[in-house]
Order: sequence, then C-alpha cells, then structure tokens
Amino acid sequence: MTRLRINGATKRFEGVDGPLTVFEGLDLVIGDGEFVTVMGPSGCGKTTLLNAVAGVVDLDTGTIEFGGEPVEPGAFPFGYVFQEPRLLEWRTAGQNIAFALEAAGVDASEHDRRIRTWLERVGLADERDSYPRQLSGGQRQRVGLARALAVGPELLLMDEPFSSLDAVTARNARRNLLDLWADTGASVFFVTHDVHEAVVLSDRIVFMNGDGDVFEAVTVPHDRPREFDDPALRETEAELTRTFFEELE
Amino acid sequence: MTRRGAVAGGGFLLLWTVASAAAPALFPGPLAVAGRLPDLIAPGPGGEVFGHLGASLLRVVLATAVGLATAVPVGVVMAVDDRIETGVSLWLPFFMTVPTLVVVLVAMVLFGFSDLSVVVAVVVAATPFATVTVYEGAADVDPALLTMADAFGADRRAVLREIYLPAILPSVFGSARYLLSMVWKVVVLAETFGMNRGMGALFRYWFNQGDLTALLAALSCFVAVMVGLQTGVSRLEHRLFHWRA
Repeated sequence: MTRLRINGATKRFEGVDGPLTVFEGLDLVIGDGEFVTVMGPSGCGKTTLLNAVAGVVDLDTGTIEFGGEPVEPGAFPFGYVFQEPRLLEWRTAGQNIAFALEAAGVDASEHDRRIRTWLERVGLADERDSYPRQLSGGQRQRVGLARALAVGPELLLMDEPFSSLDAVTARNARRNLLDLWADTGASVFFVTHDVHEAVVLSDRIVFMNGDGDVFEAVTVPHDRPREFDDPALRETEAELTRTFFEELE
Repeated sequence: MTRRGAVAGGGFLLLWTVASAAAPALFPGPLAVAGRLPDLIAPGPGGEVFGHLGASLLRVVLATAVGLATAVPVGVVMAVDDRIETGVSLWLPFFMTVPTLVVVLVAMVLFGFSDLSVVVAVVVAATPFATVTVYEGAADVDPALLTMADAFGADRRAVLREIYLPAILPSVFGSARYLLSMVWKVVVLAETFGMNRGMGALFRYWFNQGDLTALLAALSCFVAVMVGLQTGVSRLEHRLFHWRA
C-alpha cells in the first residue's frame, strides 16, 4: 500500500535574477512502513521537498496523496525531525514534547504518558526536566526524535538529522532510529547527502541532482537487521557513491 | 545584592568618606548626611520624606508601566511587519534626539504641573529607546523555531506564548531596567520644576535653603529605594531566565 504519493511537484522561488526552479514535475512514492531516503547534494531542494510535504512551504503545482486519498500538504499524521534540534531553549525536554503534543491536538490526559514513553525509548528517561542547554548535541537531537514520534506519526520526515553529530553518536542514533522505526510501523521520508547513512538505513534510495531532478532510484538489496560494517553493505555504498558522483560531475 | 553588592556599597562609602575628609567645607561626609535623616522624616517643610518618596515612586512605576505598555506592542509589531518598521523608524531618531529638558518643559506647558505631564514627558523621552530594545529582541526570533511550530501545527496563540514571548522577554526586562533608571531622572526633573510633592520638590526645598547636607540625605534615601527596585527586577530576571544557566 502507498502511504505517501507526491505527483508532479514543482517549486520555484523568486531569485535575484528572476524565478529559480528548485524542482519541477517531481514524483515520489513511499509505501506503508517503508524507509525511503532522498539523496542529493546541498541545495538540490531536498529540504524544500520535505517542507512542502509538511505544508510549511507551498508548492507551485503538484498534489499529495496520503493513504490513497488526496490531501492538503501537512494534513495527515506526521512528525518532523530537523537538521538542528529546534528545541525551545526555555522549556525542558518534557515541555518541548508537550508543546508538539498540544500543537498536534493530542488530548492533554495523554501527554504525560507519551512524554515518559518516548523519552525512555530514546534513552533520555532521566532528562525530562533538563533544559536543552544542559544536554549534549546528541541528546538534544534525540529529544527532537522523541518529539516527532510522540505525536503518533504515520510518516516521519527527517532532514539530515544526524549530520551535525560526531561519528560515534550518529552511529548510535541510527541504530536507535532503526529500532524505533521497526516498532512503530511508521513510514520514513529521510533526507541526507551521506551515502553510507542512506545505505544502512533505507529500503529505497532516490537520487536527486543539483537541478532538483531525480536521476536514479535503487532498492537496497540487503536484509534487515543490517550490520553497519558488513562488507556487502560497504560494496553497495561504494557502487552508489560512484553512481552519485558520476552524475554530479 | 549579596557579597558583591556589599563590597560595592562599602567601597562607595569609603570613597565618600575620603572625599569629604579632603574637602570638608565643600563636601559633607556620610555621617553628617546620616545625621540629617531625622529632619527629613519629621513633619513640616523639608520633611515627610516617605510621603515624597511615595509620590515619586508612584510616578516612576506608572510611567515605566505606560512606557513598557507602549514599547512592547510597538516593538513587536515593528518586528513582524516591515512597513510598520519603516514608518516608525522614520520618527524614532526625532524623538531620541529631543533633549529631555525640553520634553519636560513642553509637557509642563501643555498639561500644567500635574502627574499627567510627568507621565507624558517620560513616555515621550524614554519610550523610543525601550521600543528599539524590544524591536531588536523580537526581530531576533529564530525563524527555524517558527517553521518547527508550523510543522507541528501550533496555532498563533501558542506561537506567541511559547516562542515570541520568551524571545522578547529578555529585552523587555532590559527595557524595564533602562526605563526605570531613565524615568526616575525625568520624574525628579519634572518635580524639581514645579511639583509640590515628590523627591524633586524636596531637593528643590533644600537647594533653596542652601543646605547641601540635607540635600544629600534626601538623595541617599531616593538612591537606596531605586537601587532596591533595580535589584528586585534583576532577581526576577534571574529567576525567569534560569534556563540560560
């Protein structure tokens, strides 16, 4: 079953030298429980595409379907994990999650249980009353993940969420994400420019070039659970890196 | 106002003592000044210091409140709407460069020697500075947080309460402290010119008597109260912004 379908999405911005096309006539499908990654160089429009799905940015043309029904962008249960944590620094970890729960219209009687559950699931059970400035970069990003999952999303939008973390922290965060994803059954729309990350995480990888065109889509041919250092994965990674860079050169 | 406050206060008293010892005829020392306090408390002309303090404080608090109530909405609206920012920015330098003395005189001419003229003078003289401070705070709101709130579906009220308000609160406090320190000068200036009650009137009385010691004693009472007020605001600020630690 299809969870998300983007049909003919076009986005233009007013640039200094006239309109600037970010992407044009873009199609993308994400299945139920599927983990799809869009790979592309910086500035290719990956974030804009995520924002358009979330309804934060308006599309010039194109439609979105969710669960087979046409919907307005953002008018479906989704969670968003940003490149930076984007936490309210004047609110504790727990209150940051409560902010999203209230915004998403989750009943107040549910808040406490969800905050407890999701902070525990990302390994931050003891940090509920900590302020963002008291947490490490990795912990802050995990609060962001807990916030996105707490709203009960059927689709998780993730915009290079681990790109600012150190290698070890990022690796643990990816492992944590895969566990949570397996448990929730949510579909994931992930964006990155890191081929290794795309290969270890995704079911399918969609490649965009600098002009915002999709030039390749591949199914990752590896069973789960995956060993991040599996030589077979490394081989796929090397192959896709070649595909990617040949297109960009 | 803990140990650092005590050290600063002690240092000030020491300097004062040394200065008055060097020129006793020109500059009365702290003890001589303290000795005049009973005269200030006593009823009659030149006394009733608490009544005068109360009158001044009321004006200071009222004017600061009116100043803030003007500066906060104008500053926020300026940050949200570019056209309003352009319109208001055109006028700000004009208000900021008019000498305070002139503002007080004009207000006195227009509204007579009344509380209204004091409040008007203060609002005109001090609000533009406070407005700029609030505007800068509100313009500093992180657009990434607004996108986050939008993505999660937060309504306008939640965005104002949870993002705009905490973002401008530090500058509102900055403005409040600035207004307090500026307002009392304007209030006293206006009182000195032509009010019967208020610390300015008391200063004028002792000035006319040529009694510098009593004048300094009155000034000490006033400064003590203002420092206390500022300390209160700082404490509140510290409590509200504990998340920064």
